[in-house]
Amino acid sequence: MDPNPGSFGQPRRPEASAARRIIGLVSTLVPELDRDDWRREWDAEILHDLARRLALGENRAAAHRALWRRALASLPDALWLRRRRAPQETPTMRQDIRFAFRAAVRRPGASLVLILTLALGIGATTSIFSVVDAVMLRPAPFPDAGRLAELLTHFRTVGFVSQSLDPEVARFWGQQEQLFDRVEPYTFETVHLTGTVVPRRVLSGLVSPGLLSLLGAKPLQGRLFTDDDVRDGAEVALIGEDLWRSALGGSPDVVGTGVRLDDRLVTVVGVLPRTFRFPAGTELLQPLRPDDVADGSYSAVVHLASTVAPSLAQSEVDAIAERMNGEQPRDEPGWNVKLRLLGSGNAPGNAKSGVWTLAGAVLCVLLIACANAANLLMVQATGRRREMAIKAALGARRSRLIRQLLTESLVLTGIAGTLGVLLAWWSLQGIVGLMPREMTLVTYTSIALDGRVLLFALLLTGLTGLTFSIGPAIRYSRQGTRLAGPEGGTMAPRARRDARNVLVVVEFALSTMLLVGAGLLINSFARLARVDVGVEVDRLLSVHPLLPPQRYPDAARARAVNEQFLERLRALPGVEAVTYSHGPPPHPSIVFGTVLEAEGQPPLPPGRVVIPVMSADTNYFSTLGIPIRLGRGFATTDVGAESNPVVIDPDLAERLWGSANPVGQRFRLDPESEWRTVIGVADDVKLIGPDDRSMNLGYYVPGSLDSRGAPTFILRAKGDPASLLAPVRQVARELDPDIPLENLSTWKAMFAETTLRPRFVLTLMSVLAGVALLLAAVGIYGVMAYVVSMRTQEIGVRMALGARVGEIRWGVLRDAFVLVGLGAAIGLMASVALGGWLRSQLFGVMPGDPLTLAAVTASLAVVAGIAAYIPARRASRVSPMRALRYE
Amino acid sequence: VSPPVLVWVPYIDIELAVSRQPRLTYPTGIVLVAIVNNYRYGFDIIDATGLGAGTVYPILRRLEEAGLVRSAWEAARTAVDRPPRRYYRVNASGAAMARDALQRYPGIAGLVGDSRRGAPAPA
Repeated sequence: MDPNPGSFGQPRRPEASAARRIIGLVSTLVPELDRDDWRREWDAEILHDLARRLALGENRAAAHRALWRRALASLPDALWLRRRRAPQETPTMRQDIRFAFRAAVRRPGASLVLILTLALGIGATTSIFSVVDAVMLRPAPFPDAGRLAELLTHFRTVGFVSQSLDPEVARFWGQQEQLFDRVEPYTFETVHLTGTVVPRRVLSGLVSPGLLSLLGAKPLQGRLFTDDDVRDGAEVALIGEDLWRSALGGSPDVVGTGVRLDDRLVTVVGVLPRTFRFPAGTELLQPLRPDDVADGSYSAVVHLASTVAPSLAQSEVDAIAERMNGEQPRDEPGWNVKLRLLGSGNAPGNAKSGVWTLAGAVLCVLLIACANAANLLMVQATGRRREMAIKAALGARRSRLIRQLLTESLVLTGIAGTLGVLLAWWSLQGIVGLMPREMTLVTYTSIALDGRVLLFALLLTGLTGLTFSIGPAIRYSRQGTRLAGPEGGTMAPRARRDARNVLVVVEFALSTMLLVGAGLLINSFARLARVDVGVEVDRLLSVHPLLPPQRYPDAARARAVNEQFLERLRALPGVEAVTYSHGPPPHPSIVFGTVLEAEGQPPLPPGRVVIPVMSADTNYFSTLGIPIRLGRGFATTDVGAESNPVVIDPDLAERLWGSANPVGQRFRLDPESEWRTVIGVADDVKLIGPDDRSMNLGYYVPGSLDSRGAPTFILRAKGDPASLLAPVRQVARELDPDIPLENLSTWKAMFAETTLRPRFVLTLMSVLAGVALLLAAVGIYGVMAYVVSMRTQEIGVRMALGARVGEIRWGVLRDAFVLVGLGAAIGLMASVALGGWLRSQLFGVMPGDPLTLAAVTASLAVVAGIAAYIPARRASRVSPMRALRYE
Repeated sequence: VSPPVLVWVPYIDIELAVSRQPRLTYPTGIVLVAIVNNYRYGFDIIDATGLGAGTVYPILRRLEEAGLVRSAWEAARTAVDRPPRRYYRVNASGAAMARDALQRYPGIAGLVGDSRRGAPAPA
């Protein structure tokens, strides 16, 4: 048609306006593309008709009625055009989405793989990054967190940082107003919560009222502490939401009720929400009084003065400490303090390394997922080149094709995203459940699905989807794309093949790295599990009764109840022996020293000396099954002996005296402490669990029930120690129902707990490595299947010319192995280079462990072989006749 | 008239694979013959054939889409004092189809005369 741009200006016959208004109204039904044309035609017809009728002398009213009828007849015309044109000219979003679903369903395998690939990427990334974020990156959720810091004692010579401050030191820093405008002290104490269903030991924070306001605490119910509480010495407490719900049944009118803490009646004045977690690990808060501060050490949160830049605060602190130490020389710890800024990540170092490993691994998985998605989309788009060309030839406009491909990838990404979010949410529950307490306790916030991370993963995958579907769409929708030839298109086929190959190589390199990481962790965990901890853990059970000090104020009463408890435990059927110890493994007490020194020898170079020390009853070694290598175990006469008799472990003996016999020798931990006489050497015990690299030295002192501190009772069972759990609880209840029992557990379970962190990292790493391998396998399968389908014709010709099935298969497999081999080689080199990162997570394995590397290479080869074999077999089954007709 | 070609191509949405010839119904035949006989715009054809506007226009559209009829806007300079009209005319295959119509429905010839002669006339 030839739309004439001529305009006809103002309507010349206003009489026709009614009919023309109808035309105008009806024209809105006409597809936009035809609308102007359509309206001009009808307008012209109406005006002509009116003119003709009036010229023929027709009655004006009759002429108008006729025009009305005619104008109304435009309705079927408009509707016809609308129906006719709608599907092509005004495609709606709904139609696009319908097409997209249809296109996805038409290739169920490819669509499913794409969706699962992206969903796994999004799900894994989001959940693990949420953990990383909560544990390490997110600033503590306090107002003005950037200017808040914890004040820590820094033992310079031993390089040790302690959370507790000497009161004098704290007072000194509290006066440095040019640095800190607020210093709010707090400390911890363990209290016995009684009167509830099960008596419990609860970690209570003693905080100044100012600390709560500084940290912006907002109670769920009731109020915070006031200065009046402190001044009047009111027995008040704030309870945490979790304790309120679990121990106090979450009753809505808890404020104003009393709870018993260490036999004191304390009034609950408020409930703190779960989101407020300070000091970490506390379930209950009590006001800190000035006399609490005077005796005993405490910690402090400081608010930096506005003139101090947070990044420079530490150096200012150091300068002042330097000056003070110079003016008035002091022994350690001196004035040295370290600031731990609350505004930056807050997890301690040992928890961090595991989480970083996981973060790196999950990033690899996300990259693999994206590479896979890109690969699949490119293969798919190439496969649909013909479809695009035909649509274009039939008049589909380019924008229309691009729009449709875009919608398709958005639909797929959308489904994948939804699935990914579900997966993330679900897997986060699992991860948090698996997380060892030490990781969850240090966070000031609860771990929840992080919206920003989710958005990032969705955007990344969405962008991948769009990039790799728009590219081909633009290319294949170009005018003049021909139908002929399987590799028609403007990008050189070689370049496209190379792009796909690079993606596969990258995928395999990344999954090799993950597999090596997981392999090393599995290897080291297996070694960890095989470690002989030196005691017969399978037979032992321990229980730590905590006598409430208010009920047992003097040593005599405590001793009496402990002796009674010991007798009754011995009388239990199924018990072979009972002993006790203060601070037994796997949570031994620790002594600090500065210089380890054997008598008659020059002291070892000064440094941090942290040595586990445990008390041992006379039958301790026999009950736990620890052989005495040299000398003897303890006798009752050793308790309180002048000579300070100790039994040491072989590592300490070796450190101090080498191979010489240590029995009868003396040593001490720093120049001020007394000499200790070695009476025996007990066999090596892994005191803090199988991985005791940091604390392999240790010694025992003779124990008695008179010793300070509560003993832990250790039972050796005739059979399964777990069967003794209930009888032990019963014995304790009969003795005093208000005694909380700590650590009532089999040793097997306690030692298993010490490997929780490596197991946590290992489990997630294995899952991630498995996912990575699966994705990489899908990637190589996709590429090989595509190559085979593109080469069907060639393969058919070769078969017709007499090529053998084996040759064809081998040809395909060889191509696959070249890519996999290249990827694996790069991955192996990279993992050896990056192995140092993993070193702190490993036990007994070096990052370049050849066995692990070989195992990873073998498993890669097997998986890649299987993935490539399917298309290889398809290739070898090509019928020459069909192949020659193909495309 | 070329026979309808059934194109089957994998993965082609049926909506896009449209290439249909209008069926030669009686009203289609009348409209075609009317155009051949120089009734060249919508209401003219309606008046000449006695068919309703709701019938004639869709037929015109369909014929145009099938490439049997072409339309063109009247040049602005010939349309003095009135809006330019849209004129329809048949091309070669349209004329062939009109002959088909006259063979199949001979009565049409008497219904639609040549507008220039002002009286019905055999084609």
